[in-house]
Amino acid sequence: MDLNLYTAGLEQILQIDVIFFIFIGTLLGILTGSIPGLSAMMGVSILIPLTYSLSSTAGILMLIGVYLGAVYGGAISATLVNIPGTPSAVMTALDAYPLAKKGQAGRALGISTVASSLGGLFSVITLVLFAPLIANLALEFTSYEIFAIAFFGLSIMAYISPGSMVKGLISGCIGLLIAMIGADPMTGQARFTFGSIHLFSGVQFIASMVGLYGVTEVILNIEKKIQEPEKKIEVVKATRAIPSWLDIRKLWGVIARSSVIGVVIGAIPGAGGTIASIVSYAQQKKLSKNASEMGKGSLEGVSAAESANNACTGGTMITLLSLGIPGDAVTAILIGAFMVHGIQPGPTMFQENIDLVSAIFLGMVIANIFILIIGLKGARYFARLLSIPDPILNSTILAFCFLGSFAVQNSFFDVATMLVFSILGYLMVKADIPRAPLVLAFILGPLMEMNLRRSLSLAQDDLSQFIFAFVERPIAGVVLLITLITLLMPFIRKKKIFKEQLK
Amino acid sequence: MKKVTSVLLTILFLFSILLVGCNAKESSLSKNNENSQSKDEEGKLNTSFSGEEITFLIPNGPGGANDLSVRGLIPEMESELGAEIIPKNQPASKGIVAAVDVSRSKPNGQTLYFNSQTLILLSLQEKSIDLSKIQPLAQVVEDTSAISVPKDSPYNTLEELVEAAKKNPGKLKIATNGKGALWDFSAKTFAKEAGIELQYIPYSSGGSEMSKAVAAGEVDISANSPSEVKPLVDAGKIKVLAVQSDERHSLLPDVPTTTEAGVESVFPVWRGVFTVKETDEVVLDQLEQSIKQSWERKKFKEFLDNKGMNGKFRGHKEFTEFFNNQVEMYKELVE
Repeated sequence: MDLNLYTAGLEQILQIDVIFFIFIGTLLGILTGSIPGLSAMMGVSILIPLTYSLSSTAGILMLIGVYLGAVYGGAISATLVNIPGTPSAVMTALDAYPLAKKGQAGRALGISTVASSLGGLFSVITLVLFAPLIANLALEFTSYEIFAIAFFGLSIMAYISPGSMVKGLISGCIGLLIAMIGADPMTGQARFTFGSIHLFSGVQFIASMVGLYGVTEVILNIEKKIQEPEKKIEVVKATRAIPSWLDIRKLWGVIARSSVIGVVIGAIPGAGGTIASIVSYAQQKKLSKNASEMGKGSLEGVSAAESANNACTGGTMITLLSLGIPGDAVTAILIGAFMVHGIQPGPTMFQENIDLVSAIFLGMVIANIFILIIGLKGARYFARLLSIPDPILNSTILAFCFLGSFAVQNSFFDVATMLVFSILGYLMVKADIPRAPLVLAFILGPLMEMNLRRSLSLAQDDLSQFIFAFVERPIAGVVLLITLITLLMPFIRKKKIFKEQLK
Repeated sequence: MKKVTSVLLTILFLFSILLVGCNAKESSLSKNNENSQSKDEEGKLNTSFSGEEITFLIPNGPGGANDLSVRGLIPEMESELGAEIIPKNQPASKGIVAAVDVSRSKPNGQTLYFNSQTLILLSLQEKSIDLSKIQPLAQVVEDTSAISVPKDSPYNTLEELVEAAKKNPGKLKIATNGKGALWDFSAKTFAKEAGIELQYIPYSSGGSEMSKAVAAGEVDISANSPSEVKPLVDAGKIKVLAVQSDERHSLLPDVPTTTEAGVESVFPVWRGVFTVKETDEVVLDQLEQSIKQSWERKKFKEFLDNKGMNGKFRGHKEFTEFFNNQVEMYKELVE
């Protein structure tokens, strides 16, 4: 076995500043995660510009720390105020809040911390084992395969987006249309730039994400404040958050099973943490002996949801690192961060930036350990963040949004881009259209277009040759087949429901 | 309420640490040049730049070859000129925005721009870049492309490859990085000089992806940067038939040049410094001198070696002539 993959990054990681930035990243992640309204997407996108002057290792690991921390942080507010800090903590709130009401807030926090950290660690191990395997197969992943996977990612994203599928599709299409802007990848011809030189290489991704997730949330927060100015958040007081061995021993199996579910769902492009925790929670309810307890304050429920959404992080990183395809909206933004640091995620990373890949593996382990430490020692204090005066919180975030979008490429045009996207984001929220499909389509669209057109050109622009190529290539063929099934599923299901109704 | 304030202060403190972290690089930069200024024994050039600010526009984000080249040049240039040089990354629209900015700047030598022949290629795609307003100042790098084929390819020499391509015109596939981009021209130069017809397959994310496609056997040939080719050669996935220049490349000393292999195809990949036209001749000379001094330093040479790039210096007169020839050549190739 090639140990180089595990040791190459040691030198980079064992530096006080790198560890420090992982710590800061994880801490900031937990902070953003525990404040409802601030999501992992927002945390990562507005912090990207702050990493410019860091080395690529420190910068990327800090952002990964933010990502992991934010996924965990959602559980804190879910437990103490019954508001999931991030969407993926929805299922956590179902059991953790009733526990808190019973005066066991500390116990609930402790268990969710341990479950999160263990889930995360498990997923890193999976990542370390599988990512190099897939990357080694990278030469098998030619234009046809990448096209098929990107297409699958796009189709499943519309399928699983919360709410109506039509709205998911609308969001995805907006993303695809935005991705069309800029020079044509094949011919270099300018498309939809309206003669502006600023749009020649397309809409700046990070600036638009800062608008879509940063400013939009601020607008929504302010709006909420105006509509219900007197609403006071009740924070349940928590005691010490160190869980007992007895609890952990009992939950061992639940955590292990949910972690597996989390990793697998994370590795599916387009799925992500929310889905992982819902599936894992539902699974637990089916299998548990104490199913009736769930929803009323069951530790099993808390750990099923929390270990699954944190295990998801390693899963999404598998496809991100080995194929350069994001598993969810946060990793889509992370791809932007890699590129800012001059690194193209994907199989070539395993040849050219092996020390960075290795440092990411080790850094994720460290970040998950930080989650455990920070969570056990400080979770109950994070609840106090909920009482930060809104004006201060919002204005700080706004300042960072402007600073960040300008700093991406020293361009005021990007600040305008950010503002346009913040309006778009606000309108989308008001129309109840999910934003995640847009983000994924923005990243996956060009990937899909490029590989589709290249495959066609490799097939001499002959459709029958193009289709035949998929028969010859088992990976691409199978992925396309799965895509087809996912796309047809809703229709089949509808028919079934229709038939049942007839009876 | 006290606790709330303290938590708040902690957050602000953390954010400010980050911001300080961002500035740390700038201050260490200026510290560096204080050192070099005091150590400078040759004495400063008698220039009008003393105490002035020069903006150095970089058409890419931090970390790329252009960015690192500029940052390698700056400390020495600063001590030569006694001016403060501020690197400014402007990756917007592949550097078009920066090119337009420099062509519209005041001709006082205080706005510099760094790029490869990508500048010419961009001007062919985007008419807002007016090359007649851009003054070549000094060339610092001259590299080339390596013609590679998959490891199990039946062609072991350039001759065999050319012969096969002549027998099956338009059948062999060569990777490019998008129509009108750098390696597209490299491929076209080769095809033109060898008198063959090829099928061009674009990989817009660039050289590494092209090399990967050759290794996977998706295409038959690729002509891109030796430093991108090298890792896959070492891994035994591809073989290099020739480098497109009249001198062998330091990274691939065993590989023959195209001339040696019987095809008169030369494709220089160069990088250099530009400023705006109508800058005074005296100013151009001063700037050129300072770049030359920096270019000769050991540190910059080491940097080029690390990146696998060949250094080559041309002063502004020579570089202008070379640049104009290149512009003509590319215009011809496009037609």
